[in-house]
Amino acid sequence: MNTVFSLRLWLIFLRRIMLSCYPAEVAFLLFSRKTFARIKESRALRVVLVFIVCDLAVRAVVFFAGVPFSGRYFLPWTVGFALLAGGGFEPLAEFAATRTRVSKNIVGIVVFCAIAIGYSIKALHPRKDKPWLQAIPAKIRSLTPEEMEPVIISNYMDGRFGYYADTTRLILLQPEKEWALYVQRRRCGGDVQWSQLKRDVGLKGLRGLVFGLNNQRVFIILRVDSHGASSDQVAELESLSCLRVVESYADRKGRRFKLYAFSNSND
Amino acid sequence: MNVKLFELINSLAGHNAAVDACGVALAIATPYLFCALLLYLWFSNRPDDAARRSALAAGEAAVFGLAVNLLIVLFYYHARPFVLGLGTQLVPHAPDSSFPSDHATFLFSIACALCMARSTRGWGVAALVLAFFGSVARVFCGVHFSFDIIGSFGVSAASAAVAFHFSSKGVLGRVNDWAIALYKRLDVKVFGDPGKPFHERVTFAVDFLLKHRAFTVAALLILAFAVRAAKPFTTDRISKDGVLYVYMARDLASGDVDAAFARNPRMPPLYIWMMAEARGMGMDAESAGCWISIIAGSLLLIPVFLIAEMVFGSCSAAAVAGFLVALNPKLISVSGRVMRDSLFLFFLFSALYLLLKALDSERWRGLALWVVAGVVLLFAAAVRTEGVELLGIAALAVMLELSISKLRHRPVGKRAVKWCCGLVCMCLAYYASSLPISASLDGTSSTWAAVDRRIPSYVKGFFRVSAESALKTEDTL
Repeated sequence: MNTVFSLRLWLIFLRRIMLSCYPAEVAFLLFSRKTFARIKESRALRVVLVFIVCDLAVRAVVFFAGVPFSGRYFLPWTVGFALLAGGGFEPLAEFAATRTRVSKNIVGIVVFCAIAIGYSIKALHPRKDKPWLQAIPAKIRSLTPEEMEPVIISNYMDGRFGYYADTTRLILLQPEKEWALYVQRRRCGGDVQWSQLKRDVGLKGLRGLVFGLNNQRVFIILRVDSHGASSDQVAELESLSCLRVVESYADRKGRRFKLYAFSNSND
Repeated sequence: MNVKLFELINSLAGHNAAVDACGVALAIATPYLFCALLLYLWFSNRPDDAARRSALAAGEAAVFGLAVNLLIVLFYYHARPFVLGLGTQLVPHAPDSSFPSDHATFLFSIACALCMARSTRGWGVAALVLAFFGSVARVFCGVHFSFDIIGSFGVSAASAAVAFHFSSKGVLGRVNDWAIALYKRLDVKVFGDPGKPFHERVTFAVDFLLKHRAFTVAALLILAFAVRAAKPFTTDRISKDGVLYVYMARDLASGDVDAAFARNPRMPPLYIWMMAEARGMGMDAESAGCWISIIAGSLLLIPVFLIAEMVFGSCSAAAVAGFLVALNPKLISVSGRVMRDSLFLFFLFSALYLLLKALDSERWRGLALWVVAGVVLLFAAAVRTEGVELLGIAALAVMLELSISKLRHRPVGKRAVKWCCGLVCMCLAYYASSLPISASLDGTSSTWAAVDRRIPSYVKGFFRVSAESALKTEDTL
């Protein structure tokens, strides 16, 4: 079935569009009918509308082409939407003033204060949803001598593990594919391309690779929740005698990780 | 008992996102609300100056209280709960001394001082209630123990009493009298009528801003910059893409262009170059990327304001649009981090504004605007390749405008020639300004081009990719 006929994909797309605008802007836009009626002959309005519609159309083509799609791609639409919402404030303030018998200025102050407080809290709310993203590299760094660059093998590849552990030596591990190991070769069209390290896959291959990296600090970061390695795979890995569990990590969203260290070094 | 009380309150955190958000909002926003209250009391303009004097005393009480806290911290250290591994921490905080709470001292000092003055007792009681919840929220968020709050209340009550007692006596009294007299003199100069009520003053200020566009834009820029500059303090980690940008900028700064673009050959170079240049000036790549985003995100307001002004023909609607963009959480989020979106949006909307101006221009000299629009658009495409879309949008807009003119039986001949020439100039300027960039990347691993080479694959994918595979891509994100 082609992507444009998939109701689920359309719902995901519309949800993403809706998430790109905020309630205050939607409320303003609902009240902007009068303003738009006044300026309907404006060329600038027509061009801005063409810009917004075309931008959304291009985003739709990219989305339905099955390309990995980030919410950030809607940012031009977010700005365009906020721009058009600007016309709705005066009618909204007039409407509220006639209903509540409060002066238009007071309504304006209250609305702007509410938006300023609400938006600032939303924007500046501290994000601490992935504490392991820094805690794991910090642990790795503390277990590695300063002059050495640790090797990180993981089934959850995030460049930030390497960034915070001060290493570029990241190896992707896929337990579900008989413990296949990959290294990043190049990027192509936004996707990272990986090359398989060895043909003789399996835990034996992993063990061989680690001992090949003689005198290096080698760590495995294994995601062990429902999106990561299964309990059987964890048990299989932990059966390696040269491996020890350093620490376990979990966050509020149920993501769980285990950090392992290889004792392959001569020191 | 201290720990037990802490655990009792903090155990409620981390279970419900809405409750957590309320707790964090109270813990963070209450001091700002108190500042707003003091400003309101100062500008409320009651004839006897009692509210103004009370606001001054409250401010002084807060300063005294915080000074006492500073002295206590010099001699006594108590670890914060998260340092001891206790409870759930909802807001980030430095691991300095926990006792007493500066937040609670600030809030209670103001509230107590307002309660002591007869003219502001009502406000004081309300502030005391809010101060209580604001302080408890600090315990709820896991950054203070309950005894820190109780200690702060003691410090606050004492400093409020001292401030209230001396606010009309001695040196402090004379300083307060002088400040009020100075304000009154300025007030008469600015507003003319010193008896103007508060809301009329606000109206006056808003009218003044709207009459002077430059002041409106400046005020919005300050607002946008302030929130964007605060964003990095609330984010504890770099973005996923940011890591790649930092590595590329480091390679570029060290002169290894090939290694930089080998990391991602199709990466548009402008943002990375700017980061590398800033690194060459002694800034580290991550901070440079952050600052470029903050500045570009703040400057985005200028084209947005100007476009909105053209669309609505009014400064007030443009100011509202600017305000919404200045505080938009998504835009703030990408502006305070190592991300190239803010710089892209700034160039894209600047090009859109120039395009609107070019379409409006009746003279042949307006062709220069088309050329500038093309150059600015190239900058956008050198940050994100999607920028090239505006060329197509410009062509569509021209066709639409000509069709509308034709339908309304207006002469289109001269205008059609001018706009078509303008479009050609814009495309040529776009292409010509891409040449130096392409030349500098020639012979390196970069595959960046002024026109996105992925467009045919997107179109092919749009017709060929099955829904199942697209859904699979979605699920993996």
